[in-house]
Amino acid sequence: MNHRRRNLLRLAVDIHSQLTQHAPSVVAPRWPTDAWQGCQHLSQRMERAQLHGWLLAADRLRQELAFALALLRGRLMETSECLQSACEDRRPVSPHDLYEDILALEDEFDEVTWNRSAKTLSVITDPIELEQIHLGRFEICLDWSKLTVGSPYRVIAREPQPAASDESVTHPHVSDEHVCEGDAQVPLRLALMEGRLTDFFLIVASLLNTYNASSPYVAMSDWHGVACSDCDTNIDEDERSSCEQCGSSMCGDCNRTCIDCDHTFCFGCIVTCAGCQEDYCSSCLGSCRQCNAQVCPYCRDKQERCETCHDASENKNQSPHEGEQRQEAQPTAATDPMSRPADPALQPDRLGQVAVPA
Amino acid sequence: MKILFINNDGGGFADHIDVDPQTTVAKLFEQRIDGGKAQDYLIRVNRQPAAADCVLHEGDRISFTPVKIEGAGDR
Repeated sequence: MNHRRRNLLRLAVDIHSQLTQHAPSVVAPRWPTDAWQGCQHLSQRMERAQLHGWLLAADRLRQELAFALALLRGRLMETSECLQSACEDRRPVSPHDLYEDILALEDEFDEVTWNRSAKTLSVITDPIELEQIHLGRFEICLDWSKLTVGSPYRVIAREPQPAASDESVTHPHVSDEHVCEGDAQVPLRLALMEGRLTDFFLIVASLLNTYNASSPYVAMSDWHGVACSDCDTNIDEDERSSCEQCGSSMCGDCNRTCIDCDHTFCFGCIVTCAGCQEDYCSSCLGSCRQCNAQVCPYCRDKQERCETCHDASENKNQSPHEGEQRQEAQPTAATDPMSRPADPALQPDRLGQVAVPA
Repeated sequence: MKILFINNDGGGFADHIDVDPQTTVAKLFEQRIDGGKAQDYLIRVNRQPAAADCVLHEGDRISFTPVKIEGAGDR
């Protein structure tokens, strides 16, 4: 046996001892004692009812006891199945299995390295390309001191080609060297718990070779950066915002805020109020009942008219009986939100004049 | 005869199963991977790549690992 093989064997023995020391303990069965006590209680009551000659009560309790016994039987079956599956799941792994697995890794991957003092075992993947974007090679580094705990491995980009918007994302499903396992989660946990090292590394490699467009840290379509939908410049992740209406991405300089709902919109989805000329989203604006102009709630009167239509209507109403209208207009002006305070300098002629008898 | 069968697809599975003598890799794949295509899996017998017509023997270890496994989902 050459030096490398001897080292491999030592590594396998180390990993085996780690696995057996930290194997998850067998969970004690949960006995259905409450169901059993319920049956005993019903049985005592039934006997008492029979003793007193309460035949109807005894018959009802007999039915209840039969039902309770069926429940108890079901609970016992569940306990039995749990114990059985726990025994089946624990397929014993030997140092020889682990040794064979590490040897097989050398056939699967170009580079396999380990550090017994740091308790790590690493492989290097082939160069990975997703959606025609080159992401380079990745190191899958397993910390075998934590095989049965959480995610005891890191995925390190060896030739980092991170997303333009986030340097910590080196792969659409890797952020800060941690993988979002998705569908691989259960098979990975099982492989690690059972010490199937080759399977573990192959599953991670398969995961790295797959792009799930529905849930990436950064979409491959945005890998080289996201252009602002308005000014077309590349947007940093920190200053990126999305239009509430159309979902397009905008830079900090181009996003617009609706002054009513305070949400962010792009230039195409923001609307200027025809009255006050402020920015609003289309949901916060309404149409004037008469001219259909888009106006904000503050620029519409109670009849849902814009200021222009409101004024035009007021002027029209005033013209036939100008004198009376204007005299009547004074008290309503205070309650009409559209009315502006009267400017004494601009008051029309004869306003406030009263006929004085000669 | 008994073999160790490992399916790394879906919920994962590793257990000893009974198979008929002269069962080939292709036959077992057909029996165990419903509707799957062999080219979508890394198939290993005793940790080595195996041909479809490879006959399984008592005590063999066979594993099927999908070539594509979707990550993420728990962002």
